[in-house]
This record gives sequence, structure tokens and C-alpha cells, in this order.
Amino acid sequence: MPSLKTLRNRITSVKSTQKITKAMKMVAAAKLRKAQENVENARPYSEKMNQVIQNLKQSITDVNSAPKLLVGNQRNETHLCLVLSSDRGLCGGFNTNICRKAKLYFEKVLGENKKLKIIIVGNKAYDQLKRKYSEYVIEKISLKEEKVITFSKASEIADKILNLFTKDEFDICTIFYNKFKSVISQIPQQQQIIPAESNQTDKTDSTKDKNLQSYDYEPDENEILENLLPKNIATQIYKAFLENQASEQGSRMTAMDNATRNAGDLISRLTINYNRTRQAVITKELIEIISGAESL
Amino acid sequence: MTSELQLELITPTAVALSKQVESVVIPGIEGDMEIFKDHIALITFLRPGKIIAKDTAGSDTFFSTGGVVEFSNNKLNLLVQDLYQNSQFDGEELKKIKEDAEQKITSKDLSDRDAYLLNTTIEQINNLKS
Repeated sequence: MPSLKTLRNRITSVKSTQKITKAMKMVAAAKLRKAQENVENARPYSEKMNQVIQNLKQSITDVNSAPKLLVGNQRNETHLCLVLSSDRGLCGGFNTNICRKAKLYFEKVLGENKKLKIIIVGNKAYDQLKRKYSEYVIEKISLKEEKVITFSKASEIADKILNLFTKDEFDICTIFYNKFKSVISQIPQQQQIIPAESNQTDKTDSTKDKNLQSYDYEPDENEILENLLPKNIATQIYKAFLENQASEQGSRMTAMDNATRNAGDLISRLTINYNRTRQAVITKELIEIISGAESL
Repeated sequence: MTSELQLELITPTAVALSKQVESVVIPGIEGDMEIFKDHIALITFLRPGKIIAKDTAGSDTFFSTGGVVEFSNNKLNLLVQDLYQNSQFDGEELKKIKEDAEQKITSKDLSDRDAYLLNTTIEQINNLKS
């Protein structure tokens, strides 16, 4: 039986932990709202960008002269993976989920005897992946200093990737991030950005066909595409960043909510325990007094 | 008002402006152009420069370092990578862009296109002040 003093200490300690998790939950909620707003604000840009690219794609007839970013370089040897994670912990299964998804992909690539290169954003994924895959990591980017992720930061990373692509350092680039579905559910996503995958746009193609029209291009289609695609990659990365950020806050909010609730449960159990022990001590003392008096 | 077109200025972070205007002057990659109602459907690029939206009440001026223009059905979509309002023309951000451009232009392995864009950036920012 623990003594009254230890119980009392335990209760105070759990109470202060609860205060912290509660505060973290509220901070996450506030940040989440902002992050969600950012995601929504960024949507028109990437949607329009996609539309323009779809338009251009249809006007291209000769696949061979099409830009490499769109059709790939017809090889499938080296895979570059961009794994997005957070820099701070205490956000539930957020980082683990991305890492699990990424690991599955890594194993698949390595299993097929292909080369693997990894760029990691955020400390947490690096911590989880370094033990097994540190030899493949070519770069690690930390965004701890950045308060808000700006578009220019995303294009910086995009530039790095594009540089590698022009140097033929990789053939296929995939990006891993958590897609924000709701506060309680975030889905780890893998998205191929080079060559551009068109699976999500295919569905809408039939509906868009009607309002497709012939544009006047200035300069010609290929040149426009060549300039537009790198921009699109920056946009995709930026979008992934924002989704990831919203997911992180959502995930943290749920995790901290659970922690607060658990702390509450723990406190009530400890309090009952404490009261019982105190009562037991009182009863024991009373019995001692009574039996002492009786024996006289 | 029949002679109006819908202008949408979209940046990666927000829809900066959405309104009916009479015409828009844009710095196209192959020269400045002014777009009026019923212009032919068009896709082109922006070089760094001033975007001027004109309507009956007057005109709004913005500065951008580049983007994509799409015009169809009297709807002008300007996807710009950054956008500065009139009040920001003297601000620190533009100064920084100019300094960056001045630095980059000194490096040797520049393509003609990049050099051209950097030169225009510097020139246009200088012009803003005058």
C-alpha cells in the first residue's frame, strides 16, 4: 500500500501534466484553424494550375517531344522519395503513419533491386528512418525555424528536386505526406510528382471536355509546358506541406484531448485510492484507541 | 455594363482579387498587352512587371515577379507566384527581391532566359519607384 504522501504527490503530478496537455490541445486547435484556412486558400491556385496543364496536355500530339517532367525519362531505375513529417512530437500516430507508408514503399523499391534516394523534411521522420535507411538519405531539411511555411520555401525544395532531375539523378519522384481529412482522421498519402501522375484528374476529364476550348498559346505549347511544370511541382509540394501541417495540428489535438481525458481518469482513480487509504488509517487508529480503552 | 471582364488574381496563398474590370494590362513574356472583353482564349506567361486593372472608377496597380495567364469566356485568371500592392512598392520585400536578382545575375551559368528575367526584375522594380 503506497503511503498517503506518495499518493498525494502522484495526484499533483498528474494534475500538472493534465494542465499541460490541456494547454497543448488548445494551442493545437488554434493552429489547426489557421492551417485549415491556409489549405483552403491555396486550393484555387493548384486547381487552376491543374486545369491549365490538363488543357495543354490535350493539345500535345507528339509524345516524344513532350517535356520530360510530364512523361518521365522512360526509365524506372532510381526512385527519389520526399518524406514530409513534423519537427515536434506529441502528435499521436502522425509521424509513425507516414513512416510506415514510406517504409512499405522503400521495401518495394529495394526489393526490386532499384536505387533509392530519400529527402526527409522534419526531424521526426529522420529519427524513425535513420536506423534502417540512413545510407539512402541524401538530404534532411528542418523547418523548425519557419513559423509559417511559405510558397518560396516550397519552391526552394522544388528547385532542389528539379536540379537533381536535370542531372539525371533519379527517374521517379514520390512524395509522402498526411492528407487532412478531418480532425480525427488523417490519411497518409503517397503521390508521384515526377513524371506527373494524372490519376486524380482523369475522373474529371469527361466533365471538363465540354468546356475545353482551343487557346491561343504564346509562346507555343511545349515551351509553356516546360515552364509551367516546374511551377506545378512547387505548387504540389506546397500543397502537401499545408495538408501535412493541418494534419499535424489535427493529430496533436486529438492526441492531447485523449491525454487530458486519460489524466482525468487517472486522477479520479488516484483520489479514490487516496481517500480510502486515509480512511483506513483513521479506522486503524480508532480501533487501536478503542481496544486500548477496553483492555483497561 | 457590357464591356466588362472578370479578373481573378490568384496567389498560392489566397485569391487576392476578384472583380469586374474593363481591361487589364499585363506584362506578357513576349511584351506587354492589354486585355479587353472578348479577347481570344489565351494562355501565356508573365514576366516581372506591373499588372494594371482598369475600370471606370480608376485603376489598381500590382507588381508580380511572374506567373501564368489564362483567359477564356471573358474570365481572366492570373496565377501569380507573388503579388505586391501599391502600398508595398517601397517595402523591404521588393528591395530583397531586387538584391537577390542582382546577386544571381553575377553568376556565370545563367541561361539566356533566366538572365533576361532577372534583368527585367531589376529594371521593373527600379521603375516602380519613379
